[in-house]
Amino acid sequence: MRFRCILIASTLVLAVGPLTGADRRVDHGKFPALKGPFKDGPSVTKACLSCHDQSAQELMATSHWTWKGQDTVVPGSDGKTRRIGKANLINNFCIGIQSNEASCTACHIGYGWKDKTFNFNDASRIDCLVCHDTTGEYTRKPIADEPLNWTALAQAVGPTSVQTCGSCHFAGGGGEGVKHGDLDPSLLDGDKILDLHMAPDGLAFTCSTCHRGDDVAHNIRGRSASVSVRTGDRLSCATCHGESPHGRAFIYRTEAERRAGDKLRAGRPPIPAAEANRLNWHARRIACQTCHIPRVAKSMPTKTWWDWSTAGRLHGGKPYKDLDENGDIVYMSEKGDFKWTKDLAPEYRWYNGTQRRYLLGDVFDPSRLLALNPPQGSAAEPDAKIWPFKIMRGKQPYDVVNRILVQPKLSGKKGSGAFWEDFQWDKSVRVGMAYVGMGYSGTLGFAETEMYWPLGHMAVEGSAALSCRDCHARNGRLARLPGVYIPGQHRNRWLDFFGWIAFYAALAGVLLHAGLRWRGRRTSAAGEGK
Amino acid sequence: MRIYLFKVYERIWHWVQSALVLVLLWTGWVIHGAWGGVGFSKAVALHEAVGVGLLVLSAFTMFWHITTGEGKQFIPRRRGLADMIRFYTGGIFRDAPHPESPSPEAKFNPLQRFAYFGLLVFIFPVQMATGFLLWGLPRFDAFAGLRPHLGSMALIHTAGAYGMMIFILVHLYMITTGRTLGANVKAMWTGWSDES
Repeated sequence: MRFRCILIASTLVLAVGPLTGADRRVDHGKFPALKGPFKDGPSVTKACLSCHDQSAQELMATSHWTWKGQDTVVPGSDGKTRRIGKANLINNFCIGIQSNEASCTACHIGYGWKDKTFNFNDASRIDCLVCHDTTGEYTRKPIADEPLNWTALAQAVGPTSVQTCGSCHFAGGGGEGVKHGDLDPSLLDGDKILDLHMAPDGLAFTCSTCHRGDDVAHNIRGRSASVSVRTGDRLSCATCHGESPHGRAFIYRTEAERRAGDKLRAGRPPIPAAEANRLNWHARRIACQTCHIPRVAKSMPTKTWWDWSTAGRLHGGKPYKDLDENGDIVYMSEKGDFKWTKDLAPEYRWYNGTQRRYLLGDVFDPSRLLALNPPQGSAAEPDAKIWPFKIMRGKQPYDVVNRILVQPKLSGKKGSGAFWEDFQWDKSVRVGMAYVGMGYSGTLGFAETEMYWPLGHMAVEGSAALSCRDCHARNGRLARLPGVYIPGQHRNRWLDFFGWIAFYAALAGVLLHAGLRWRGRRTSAAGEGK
Repeated sequence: MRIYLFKVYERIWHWVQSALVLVLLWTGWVIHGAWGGVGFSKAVALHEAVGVGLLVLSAFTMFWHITTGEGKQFIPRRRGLADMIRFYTGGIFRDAPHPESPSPEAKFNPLQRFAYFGLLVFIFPVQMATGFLLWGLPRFDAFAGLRPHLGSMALIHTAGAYGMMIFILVHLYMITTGRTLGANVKAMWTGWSDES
């Protein structure tokens, strides 16, 4: 009885608790503070903050606002404590935001971050609507003759949605599906073969079902490996599924989740205990994602190659684009050559949840492939697991003399040095490097780099996951993964060679012996006949 | 003269064991990636189940051989070995008489003793030990320290499989060298051997 009371009480807490956004929806349109009229974003924000008085403080401490993480020591670095993030790192897509803030911060949750003068302490600069709009009408780049109705937008605020999160996270790198591979707008209305968690015919999760704050609502869980070096400690499948998930009930947090899970499993035979056990010990060293995210970019391609070295070619003095047969851009004067991959099969690496990170100013060896954020971990480390990655490859500009990657100025006005306007690398790099306070030798080259994107979305059920033979085969998915013996994939060529030699030698011996016996019999039979 | 050479338990042991070993070889090669046929997961499940079956059978058989004292049949001896080798490399081609005749007290000729002894104390234990470890290492944390050696164990296990295959090949041929081509297999099936 007491147990049942606790159960009911905890279910109630879960159902109405402060974390379940869907259950605390209220009609903001009735609140006097939102009567308006509002003339712009900051005036809406001020109205929001008049009730949500803690929210600005919460939000301004997060990386959504600062574009930097908390103090951290980058593994393999000089050991100094740093705050790294989108604000100061370099990637192999659009390279970096510094000197390009005006265009990159289209996806910042604030108004007006154009350069170093942006005031990160001004709460009225927070853009509440970009996350909390429920109308789908809000846009950060309104068309000139269709001004936003700020008042209507303010009165319709609500919880975040796949659409609001996706407005930035599905379009990182300058287009839909460009960066992650496992995040693109197909998730808005995909089926459970695309993403079991988010699909309406699956569990119909929103992003914030998993990516939500623990104590502070705005301090959302989850870190991208592109902008941080410790992703493993923030969000994991085990939160709901446990460490040995196969053949066991998942850990639901709300009644709605329990019902959705039951519905999904209704009528399915349970996994036999021996199979569940086998999968569970696989799961000790293989991340859930490895089997359950067999492919990404399933509905639209993701960018897998970006070669900046070919950028700047002009036709008659004007920039141009080339499209492939699917309509995807494969060359742009502004950006160089691209390659796209649809239905991308991930690549696999040992990963303990931390990465090393190339920091602006790090000297590197241009004769070797430079990994900007190589995952750490090996088979020998018990905490490391085999993880699926999208690996982005490309060539990006570097200073040949100083042997450092450079931060070019890309966007801006004509004549400002912005490469996308002036198409002059020299000036672009000079301006960009001066902006970050670094020298530039004047000799530019292009270095091949790669970037690791651990995959976490587009997960599917067991029936659609990888099966044994995907890895337990000669050219399996893990064919080049070091430190692990995989039956069916690995073999010793010498053993197989000499094993069969020995077998055929024995066979030859047997046949020879049989032949001699047969001849012997014939001769002795002939002898008797005489 | 007919003599009763193989008792019921010995015959059951022999034929069950042959069936289990053949299934192990087949599924083993599927797992190794040499053949397709049954799928990988079924092959693994079958290989494990049959492997456990063979372990159980071997335990019973060891018990039987110790309690009945029949184990001595497998102890190699050198007396008569040279004659056997001479017979198989010469006499057999001239229809010479077999140098040994089996009796319930000494069922096996010296060559058989060497071959079976090698099989039972070398190939079988090595296959069972490495097989058990390959099965148990990923499952039990008690074996965690041995996990880095999974690859070398698999190598030994595969080498043992080649050894087993060669044994079966030679064994299948050697059973045709009895008084008639089918005499030995008949004895193994019925227990009775016709001796002149």
